[in-house]
Amino acid sequence: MAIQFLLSRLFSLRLLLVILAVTLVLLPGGLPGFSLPDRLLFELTHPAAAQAIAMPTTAMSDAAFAALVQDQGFAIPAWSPLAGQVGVLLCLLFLVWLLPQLGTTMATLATFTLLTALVVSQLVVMLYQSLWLPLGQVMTFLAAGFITMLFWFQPRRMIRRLETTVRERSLQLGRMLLDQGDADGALAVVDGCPVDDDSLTLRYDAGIHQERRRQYDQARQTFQAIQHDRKRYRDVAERLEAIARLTGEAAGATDFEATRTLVMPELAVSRPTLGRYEIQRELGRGAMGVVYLGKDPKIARTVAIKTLSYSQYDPGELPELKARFFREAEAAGRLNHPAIVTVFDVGEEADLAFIAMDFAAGKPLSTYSRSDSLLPLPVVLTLMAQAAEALDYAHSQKIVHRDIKPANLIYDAAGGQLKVTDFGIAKITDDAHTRTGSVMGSPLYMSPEQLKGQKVTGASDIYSLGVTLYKLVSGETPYAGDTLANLTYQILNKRPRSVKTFNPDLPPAVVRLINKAIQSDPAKRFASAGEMAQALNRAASRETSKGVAG
Amino acid sequence: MSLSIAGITHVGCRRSSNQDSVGWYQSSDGQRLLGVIADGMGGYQGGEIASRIAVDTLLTVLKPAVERGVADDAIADRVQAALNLANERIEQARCDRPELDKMGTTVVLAWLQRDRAWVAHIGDSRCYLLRGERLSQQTRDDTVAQNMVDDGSITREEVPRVPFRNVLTRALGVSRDAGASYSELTLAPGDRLILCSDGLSGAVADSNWPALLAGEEALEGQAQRLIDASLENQAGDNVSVMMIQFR
Repeated sequence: MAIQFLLSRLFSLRLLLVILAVTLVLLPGGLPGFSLPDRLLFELTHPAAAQAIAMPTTAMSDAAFAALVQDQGFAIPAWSPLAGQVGVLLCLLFLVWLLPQLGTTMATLATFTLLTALVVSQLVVMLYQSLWLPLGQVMTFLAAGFITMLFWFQPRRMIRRLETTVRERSLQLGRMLLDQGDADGALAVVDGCPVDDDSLTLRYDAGIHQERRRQYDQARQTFQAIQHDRKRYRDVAERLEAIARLTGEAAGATDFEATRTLVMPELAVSRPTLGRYEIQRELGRGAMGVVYLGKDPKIARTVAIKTLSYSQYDPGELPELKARFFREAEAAGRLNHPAIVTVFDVGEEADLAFIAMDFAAGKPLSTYSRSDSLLPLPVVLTLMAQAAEALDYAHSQKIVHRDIKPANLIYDAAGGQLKVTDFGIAKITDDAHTRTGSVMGSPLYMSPEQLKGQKVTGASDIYSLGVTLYKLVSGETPYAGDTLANLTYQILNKRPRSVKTFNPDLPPAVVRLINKAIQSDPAKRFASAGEMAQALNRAASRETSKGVAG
Repeated sequence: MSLSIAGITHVGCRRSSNQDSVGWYQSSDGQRLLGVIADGMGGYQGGEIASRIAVDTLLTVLKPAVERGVADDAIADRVQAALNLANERIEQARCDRPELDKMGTTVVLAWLQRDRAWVAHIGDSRCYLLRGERLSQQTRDDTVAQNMVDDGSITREEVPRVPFRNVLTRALGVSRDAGASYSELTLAPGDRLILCSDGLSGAVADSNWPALLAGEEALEGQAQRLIDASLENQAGDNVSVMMIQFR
């Protein structure tokens, strides 16, 4: 460090001045020629004496000149060499330290003033004290030093300007990178900048950004660096503490799957973000992964965010998985219907993919699917009609849901509105990779052609909706089996259990409706979801009027 | 009479880790032979662990028996005891770490003694008999898809499209019951047994195997040919093959 400092200063003009000053101080009598002002001053004030001697005062030796001075009646004080040395050193300080801080004009003025002061002092002392105080060395040094410094000034100013520009540009670039989400880049850019309020602010913001993205290790490093540069900068100390607690709990793993839930940090650490959404809390666990409640901070919109964690998959499978995920999300995103949950956004981060969708208030119909919690029949029929209409719309857009079941139908009891969610999305993860019986999603609502792996069409959705209706009016499903193998066998080979065995009071029209929807042969089901919707609406209005009349 | 064996396992084209394990042991006098293939599952870390435990346990327990030879009617019991122990060990390993919660493995093994072969399996790893040009599958897959074929719901050709085609109805390490299916074969000179995981049968139709193996003398070369064929077909799963020759 010291060597670097020395080397960088070695070839500066100021060092030359220092060397010159030291030489003047150390050499007895100073440097020849530097006493010129003394001689000139003498000649100016004592022209007669100067003329009287043979040679000009400037050519005389020091000793001869001293004798001449004393002849005129002046005493040369013993402390005059010391005064000279001190004067040189003071001028050195002035030149090397004070001048760089002044502007050129000010510097010139100051030097001039100082020079004049020196001359005046020497004259005054001479006239009033009859003392000869040779300050010639000092004056010469000052003059020479000043001119040298002039050479130094210009480049210095340019360098200063460049430094300021670089600093400003770095901060600008850093801020831009940070706005784009590149915290690491911003920090790298600001790295060379001097530590001041602006650069600290930028680094602090970058640290917050890293916190939000759950890059807790990087955030800690950033905050520690800030703390190192400035002890008590804002709340850095508290943040470091909170991060330490957070990562301590999660045992070093900050990806979702390892901790099985997004560790919800306390207030000192920023809320994590997914894409541009702030995560507020966990809503539940879907088949694909955890579902969070999120908020878009820019427009204060509340969203539900479904995540698909990559960690449970072999990296070799990921590209295909991701391709399917985004394709499905894009398809779902095209759907625009009051009874279909709107998909707003889809994105991915290092360890997961996510879909941001409309947060549908209400409860999934699975809540009302047990025999002791069933909804009244007219309500169920109306809701199923809404679902069928939504499906009809989707089918017209060439999109099949493939996983219609009570859990995917959200019912807002307050407004009476139904919303279908998870179009195509639940089938992203290929069931083929699961080996054990705990397969994702039960095939209770799956149509026979789906189980056989045949082409899935709108008719499959109709089947699944029929089974859903069956469940919502009776609390049971048409088929049951204790193992997957058993269940698939039943669905493919056996006739369904009649819904009347579970709900004897069901009107015959509704029984016929259900039976038509869950026909094994797709061709025998309703020709379209729209047709099913009409049948459901008719049945619903009959039930409602019955209820009113009876 | 001579017995020879060669086994190869490959990670395949898509996977980044190999959850298959293979192992074998031949007695010092060359008269008896044991070959095992295990295909693990349950998160891609658990699969490796489970299949490794299965193969290691089976070999360790059965090695002495294979070395000395055992009465014919005792073989099945010995094998079952070894499977039970492997089952316990996998369950034990599962207790230690929660992320291994779903781990389990298939097993297929062949014990050859004199001119007979005993084949035991749990899951969908298979054993085939290749006699001349004729290949016949000796094991019935313990999968939902196989059930669906058996009860006539689907045909064999439809199996690749079924959504639950890989779901096993039985596996080692997932429940208390480690009961395997057994079969016995009498071998004729020149017969070959092929043990494999479903990565092979999934990538190369078994009807193609006899043609692929024709002309290759060395067992290891034959196994390699099957592996190469599955890689050419972009094997999406780990591939394991074991060739056993009886002369």
